[in-house]
Formats: sequence, C-alpha cells, structure tokens
Amino acid sequence: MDRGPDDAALVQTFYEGWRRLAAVIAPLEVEPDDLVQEALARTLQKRSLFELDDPDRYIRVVMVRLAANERRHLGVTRRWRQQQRDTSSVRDAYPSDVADLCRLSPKVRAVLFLVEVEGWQFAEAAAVLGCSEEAARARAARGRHELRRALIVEER
Amino acid sequence: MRDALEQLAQRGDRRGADVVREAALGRASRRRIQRRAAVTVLAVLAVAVLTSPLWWPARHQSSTGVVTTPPDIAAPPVRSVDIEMPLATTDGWRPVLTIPYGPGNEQLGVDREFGPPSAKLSADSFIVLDTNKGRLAYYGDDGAFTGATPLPGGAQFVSAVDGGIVISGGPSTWVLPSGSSQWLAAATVGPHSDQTRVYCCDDTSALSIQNGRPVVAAAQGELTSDGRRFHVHRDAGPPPGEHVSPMLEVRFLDPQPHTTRLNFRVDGASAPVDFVTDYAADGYGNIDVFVYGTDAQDQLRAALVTITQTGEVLPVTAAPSPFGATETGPYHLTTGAGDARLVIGGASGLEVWAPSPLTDPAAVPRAMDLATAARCDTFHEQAFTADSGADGSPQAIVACRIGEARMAIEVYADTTALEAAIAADPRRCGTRVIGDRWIVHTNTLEASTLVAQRLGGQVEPADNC
Repeated sequence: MDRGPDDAALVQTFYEGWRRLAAVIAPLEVEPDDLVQEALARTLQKRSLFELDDPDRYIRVVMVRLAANERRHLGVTRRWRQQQRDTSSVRDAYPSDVADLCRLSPKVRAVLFLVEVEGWQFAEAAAVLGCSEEAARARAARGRHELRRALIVEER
Repeated sequence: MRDALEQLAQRGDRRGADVVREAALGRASRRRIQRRAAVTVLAVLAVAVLTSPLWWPARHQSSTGVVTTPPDIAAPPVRSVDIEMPLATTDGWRPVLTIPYGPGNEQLGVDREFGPPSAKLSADSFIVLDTNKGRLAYYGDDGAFTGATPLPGGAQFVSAVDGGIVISGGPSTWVLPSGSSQWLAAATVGPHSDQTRVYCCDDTSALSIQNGRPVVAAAQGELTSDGRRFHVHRDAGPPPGEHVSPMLEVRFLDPQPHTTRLNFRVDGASAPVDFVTDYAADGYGNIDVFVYGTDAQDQLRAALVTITQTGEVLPVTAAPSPFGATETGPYHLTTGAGDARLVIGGASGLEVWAPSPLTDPAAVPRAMDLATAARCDTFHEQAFTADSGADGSPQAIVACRIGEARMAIEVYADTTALEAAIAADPRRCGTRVIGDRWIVHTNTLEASTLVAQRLGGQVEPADNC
C-alpha cells in the first residue's frame, strides 16, 4: 500500500497546527517535533492518515495523551535531573509566566491554548481532550485560577 | 497569559513537516516489523504448545490401546475479576497524619505537582524521600519530626528493610545501615529493573555485608507478610498512546502458581486509561491494590482492592483520591503492621489516610478516653498500627506517657478478640493491665500498678523476658 504521497499532503497541511499544540503541551524537556513525530508514528503504524475521518483531530488527541503520559513519566526523572543540575533547570531558560504555564498539566494547557489562542470552541477542545464540554470549561477555569495564584505569589 | 501561550507555541527547533513525516514513517515501519516478529514467535509457540501431547492431551491412545485421561495442564490457573470502580470518597477513611510542606526543617519540601516521590512506613516511623530538600526525613507516629539524613543524588524509591534503609534510583542502590549516618553504595544481586520494581525490594531484600560492601539481594517478585512470593504485572500491552492498562495481574508464585487478574470497569465498560495503580503487601498476608483515576465525566474514582493468597478478591473499598489536591499525586500505598495506609499529597501537606475501624468507629475515642482517665501526661493515637480488629488485633492503639513510664493502650472489639490477643502475645516484655476489652502494656510493674489504680483491671507481670 502506497501511503506516502497522500499522507505527505495531509502532514503538510496540518503540521504547523500540530507543532504549535505540541510545543504548548509537551514537557519542556521534549522537543515539539518529537511529540508530533511520535504521534504520527503511532498512527501510521496502524493506518494511513487518509483512512481517518478527521486526521487533524486524531493526531491532536494522540499528542495530548502522549504528553500527559510523558509528564507522568517525567515526574520521577525530572526530580532526578534537578538533583544532578540544580542550577540549570530547563524552566529557568523561560520567563516566569511561561514557567508558570508549564506547571499546569498538559490537558489544562491544551484547553487554554486551543480556546484562548486558537479560538476554538470549548466543545471542539473537549473532543481533543476526550472529555465533556463542561469538563473542558472546568479545566480552563482551574488553569486560569492556578496562573492567577502564581502571579499573586510572585508579586508578593 | 495569551502572550505566554504564544511564546510557548513558538519554542523549539523546527525540522519541517517532511522531515518529521519521514522519521515517523521509519519508526512506524520498524515497529510494524517488530510486532510481526513478535506475533510470529507467539504463533509458533502457540502451535508448539497446542500440538504437544504433554500440554494438550485431550485424550490419547496408549501403546496398549487403552484410552487414558490427560495429565493436569501445567498452566497456572487465572482468576479474572471485574472491579467496578466506585466514586472516590473519604467516607470510611480518616487522616491519621499530616506532614506539612514548608521551609522549616521539620516540614517537607514543597512540590505542588508531584510531592515527595516515595514514602514508607517502618515499624515505628514514617520515612519520606524528601528529594526537594535532598534528604530522607523521619517522622514518629504522632507526626513529630525525628530527624533527617542527606540523600545521595538520584534517589527515587525508599524501602525499609531489616538492618537499615535502602534507597534506589536508576541503576544505583544505596544502603543506610541501622545506627549509621553514612550511605553506602550497594551491590545488588538478582534481577534489576526499574520496570518491575524488584530492585526497590519492598519486602524481599536481604541486606548483608560481603567483603565490606553492602549487598542487597533482589529476588524475583516480592513477599507477602508471611513470606510467600508474588509479582504484580501492570503494563500488559496497553494500547498505543495509552499509559496504563485498565488491567492488573497479581501472580502468586508459592506454593502453587496462580494468578488473579483485575479488570477495572466504570459502569460495566472498560475503565479509561487514566487509571493508575499502586500496591503493597499488607500485614495480614494479603495484597492491597490502590487504584484511582477519573472517568469519562471527569468524576474521581478510587478504590482499595484486597486480594488474598488464594486469589480471592475481597469486597472493594471506595477510597479517597489524590486527584483534586494535586494534579497527579503523589499516590503511595504503604503498610505498617496491619492495614494499608494511603499516602496522598494534600494541598498543604503529605497526608496519611487509614481505613476507619471496620468493627467499631468508636474504638479510637474509647482508647483516648482511657488515656485521659489514666491521666497520661501526653498521648496520641499510634497511626501506623493495625486497626481493623481482625484476627485478634486491636481496633485502636493509643501511646501514652506518665512521667518516664511508657505505655500502649489497646482497645479490642470483644472479649473473644481480647482473649485471642492475650493468648497470642507471649513475646512482649514488660507488664500489662487487662480490663474490659482493653489492655494497657507498660514497661514497669510500677506503671502497671498505677494504671490499675486509675482504670481498674488486673495487673499481669511478664514472665517470659
């Protein structure tokens, strides 16, 4: 089965959006392109993108799940790394508001990014996150609350 | 916030769509080949097993022409049990200890996302791997900070074993022998994997010194409280992109191998992928499994499942969920002398939760009342001791101090449990006072006499020390 040319066109079409989402939801230790690539590999392993009803959404769903799982996995290794090099945290390379953002879970970051920046409806974002619209709204509210709290702490 | 999100969206080196797609195709192709190879090997094995008369002797003709019955199939039996995941609740549970986060020496390092990575109950202390402050912190069963030891870098898991403390991380294992303040790099013997958890040797490690170097012998599998080996298998082929399989197997290895498979379900359907598990051997010879997660409606679900050594699954207990307090935990299950304890990262501290007494919720207050009546200078509930009232164990224990005398006030469910405890307690030194469904153990005869004057009861001097 020759999947190449068809998939190539689809990847070209959606790559920019996937990459932007990947950059937002992936842990800072993970390159955004690596997350896109892994999501593509897992999908192409089973089927062509053309066989999917909505390849854009499908890849985004896989990326969100991968990012959430990667974050859990990194929970232990990140602490280990911090022990090894406590002065050169990856996070330190970013301004504090970006660092605060990265403390939120990938799913919360995803919903905030899709709704606030990309202008999606909550229902559409919920489909990518695999949750109800109400739950997506709750996640966004929780994220905003966390950010606000972090800002207040910093201002003090 | 929008600017920060946009800034985040632009991060990283850009390889381009074609490069990413080519690399993904290559990776997908390699995985397909690996999967085919694995399927082929499995198919060959399956054919070999199914065609072998030793393994598939439905019936066969012997050389004498007599039809014989097949021998027993060697494959261990598997008991498959569906676990309907209950909604998370604190009903039936109580916090027995909270260690606050904060900058103080007696407080734990703050990590809002993950909390301390590992915690363990030993006989009389709660040990927390406080990586945020680079130390192992010790607390008494009243929550009092009792000390700390600096950690070597890279520690991820802590285990309390006979003879000392073992911590491990990646390929390294360190030992802090009892009474020492010096960590020693340890050699390990046996299988060593950060996937199977054998190296952290919760209950299987035997600590020894060989040629001046500590050696931790890691066995395949872990041990129940009465010494039977078991192994927990969690990640049996989760679907691509999913982290946790909605299934967990406890494989008992002794004396006859058998397996109990738990299938986690929500409203009858296979549970979502966010379910996470931890497990520990409890003080009654059983395996406790803590499962928690969110369902499709984002409702918190959490359960404590107990599996006996015969593979039987006891009624599921709804449990508190660590979600809500923090995003991802920490989520530890640990055990003291008896029941499981959940260690949960709360908003302001690390919380230890215990199941409330099953037979009598008033047992702890009753023990406290006895401590008050005995006019203890200080007293507190012993948070780590058994409290289920099972097998003659006390429902509640309160530690009490009168002057220099130390005592433990134990409350029992009924006279049968009390008599069982009296009969089963020949090892304890010191003296005791026995009353109506309670026993007060003391360290001197004078203290027992004093307690008897204040509470009544009969003084029994120890005769076996």
